[in-house]
Amino acid sequence: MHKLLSLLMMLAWPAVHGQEIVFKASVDRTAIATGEQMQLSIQLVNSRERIQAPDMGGLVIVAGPFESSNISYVNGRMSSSITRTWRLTATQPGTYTIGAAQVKVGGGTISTDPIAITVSKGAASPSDPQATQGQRGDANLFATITVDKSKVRVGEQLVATYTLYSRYNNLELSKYELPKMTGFWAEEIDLGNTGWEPKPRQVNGVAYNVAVLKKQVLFPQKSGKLRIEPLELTCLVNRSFFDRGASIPVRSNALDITVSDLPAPVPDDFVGAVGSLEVRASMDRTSLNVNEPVQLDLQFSGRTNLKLLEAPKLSLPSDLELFDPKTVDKIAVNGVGMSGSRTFQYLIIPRVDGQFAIPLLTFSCFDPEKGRYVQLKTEGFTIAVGGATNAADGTVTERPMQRDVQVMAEDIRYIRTGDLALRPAEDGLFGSVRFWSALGAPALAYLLLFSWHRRTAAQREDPLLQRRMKADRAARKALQQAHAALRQGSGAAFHDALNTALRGYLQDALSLSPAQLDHQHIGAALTQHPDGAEALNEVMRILASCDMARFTPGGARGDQPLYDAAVNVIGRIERMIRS
Amino acid sequence: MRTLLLLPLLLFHGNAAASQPDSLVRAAEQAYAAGDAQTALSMYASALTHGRSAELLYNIGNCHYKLRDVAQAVLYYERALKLAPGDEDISANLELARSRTKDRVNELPTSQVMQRWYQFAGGRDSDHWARRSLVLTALLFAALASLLWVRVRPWNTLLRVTAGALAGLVLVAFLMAYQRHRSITTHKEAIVMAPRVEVRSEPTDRGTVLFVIHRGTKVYLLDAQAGRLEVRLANGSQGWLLEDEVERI
Repeated sequence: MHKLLSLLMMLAWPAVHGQEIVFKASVDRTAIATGEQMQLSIQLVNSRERIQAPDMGGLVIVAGPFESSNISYVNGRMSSSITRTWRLTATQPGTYTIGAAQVKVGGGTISTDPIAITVSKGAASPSDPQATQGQRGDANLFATITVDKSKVRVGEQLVATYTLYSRYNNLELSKYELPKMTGFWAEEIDLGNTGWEPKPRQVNGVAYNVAVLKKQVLFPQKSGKLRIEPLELTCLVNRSFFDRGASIPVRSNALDITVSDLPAPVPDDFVGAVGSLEVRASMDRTSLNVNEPVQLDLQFSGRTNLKLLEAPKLSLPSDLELFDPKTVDKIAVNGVGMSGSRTFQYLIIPRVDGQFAIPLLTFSCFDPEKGRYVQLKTEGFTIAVGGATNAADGTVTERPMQRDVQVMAEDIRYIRTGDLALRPAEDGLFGSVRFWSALGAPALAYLLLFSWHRRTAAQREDPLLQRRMKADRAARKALQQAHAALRQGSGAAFHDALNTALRGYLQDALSLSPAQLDHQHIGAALTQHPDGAEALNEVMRILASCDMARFTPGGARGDQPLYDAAVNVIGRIERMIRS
Repeated sequence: MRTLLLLPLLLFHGNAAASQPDSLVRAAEQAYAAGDAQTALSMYASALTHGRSAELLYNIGNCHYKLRDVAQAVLYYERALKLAPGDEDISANLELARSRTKDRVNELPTSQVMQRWYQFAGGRDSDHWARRSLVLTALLFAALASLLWVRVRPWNTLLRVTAGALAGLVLVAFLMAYQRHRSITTHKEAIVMAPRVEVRSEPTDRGTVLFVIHRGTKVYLLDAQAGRLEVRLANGSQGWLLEDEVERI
């Protein structure tokens, strides 16, 4: 067979040699848009020389060269052709010229004609800058980090994608870790089994096998310029049974994210969510009995960092017992970020019957698209709590569960109202003149009283003095009787009383016994005093008058001058003794 | 023309009426009830120029508290408590205000018994004990005087015992009155008013900073020298600070 083929070739050779040699270049189209591809074919007919690649004039080789050869016999004449093909593209619009290709045939050189290509601006979006930058580093293997937004607010979610671009057919990934995040709260998106994407992706016209390694949802936690550090990994390429392959380190780009603060003032009811959020409250029933549970569901749904939402603190009437809420999540983290719903289920048990208002709740979230805070409201509820069932006779059979009174907050006590009893600051009673005088006055009064008492005590101790003091009182009493009798016109009684009064007085005042009431004794007592004699005469005259009236038969009439004389003489004697 | 002449007169009259302490207090009460602590405070403060009382100082403390000036609130509650020791409202508010100050100095909580004692020692007002000692003195001398005349056995003995007891009570009341007078007229305590006070070991700038106290803390004054005060805290720490950093109670 081999021999036969050689024979045929030898037979054919001169024939071929005798044929005309054709060398030409062609393109499938002369006008393309950026990113589009075109095909350059250079055909050499009836020669087996090697075709040199022409100058592509700035066009980028996407693939090639591919070579194909063709031999044909027509009517015993054999012709052959070799075609080399390139796929080309352009990254920039403009006019390009594919230079002349040359081939040496025999002694000379033949060349093709240059071809002009017009490249217009493509409609297709330019390849992303991260990939372009990566391509500049190593055109065969690079990795990128891309984000869907590079300017966000604190707490606003963004999605970071880690992508590997490769032109190697055989590639193995070593272990790698995602870069450490500082200032972000990161949530990884589950991509399932990652692998090469089925369709190669064009980067500036160059086709790459692309694998999305990871995706992350990032929530910036502080404002400023936050940096996502480059992803570093090592790839083994062209590894086979015979070849250990080459280890190529890959380092992706780093990204700066500009994070701005939420605008002030932050509403009091801000729940910390940035994004779109809705809230809905529902109760499983609104009419129940004491000590029966009722559930209040508070559902937050939307596209935001739902996992950071904390259960809002409900302020319920204190007779409703509120238990810690249960959190039910239906949160999905996917390519568009975090979305879904988080529901807080509050269990409420009323401990007292009555109507209870569960107040309307308001929450605020920040909507980055609108650029302002949005307030969300739930509806308020009123629950009717029926009383405990009572026995037929009206006695309460059920004992309510007693609880301590709950202190809900501390505050100062209220001001004093009404008269505040203001007084000048330097108006203390203690130490003032008023104080000392008021303190001294009773002491002074006591001292006066005491000295007076001391003086009078001596007199009280003397029996003679006592008797004399009694004399005055007794005489006065008897004189009153006499006076009364005088008024009644009873003459006997008058003289009797007057006699008794005078005699009694003389006995006590002059310390005489009844037997000593005569002229001699009275005279002895009285004549010590000046005017004593005169008083003695008067006394003797009155006593004589009384005796005479007493022993006058038929009785005498009352005598006013006599009475006056008696009063007068008693007074005189009294003064005499005192002095 | 005549109305024009009358106008200043009316204004003056209006001012005079407003500056009456009673109407000031009433207006302040209304302002406080309406939640305007600032106005209430300025009115109470001008009422304070006419005279003082524990109640007025207490109300001023409340206004300061509502305006979130805890240090001033503590100062006025302390001043009020000085005039009315053992007053329950004042003690309660003082305790609350004190719990809002920066420094936690271990001040012993007032026991029930001590509270009772303060109430007893404080009397109804600052002159209570002075009045009481005057009344007791009068009673004592009345008893002594009646002893001059009552000589009969059981009554005489009873009066003697009564007079003895009264003498003891007079002594007690007088000492109490003296003590109240002392505590009101001397100012041995102060409240820190500067936001941050470095307490030094010496009354100079060279002294080592021993500790730092903040606004609202109570200190006991021990000594004064060259514009500086030696103070002691409730926990026993002692040092020197500048006189204008504190305000005396």
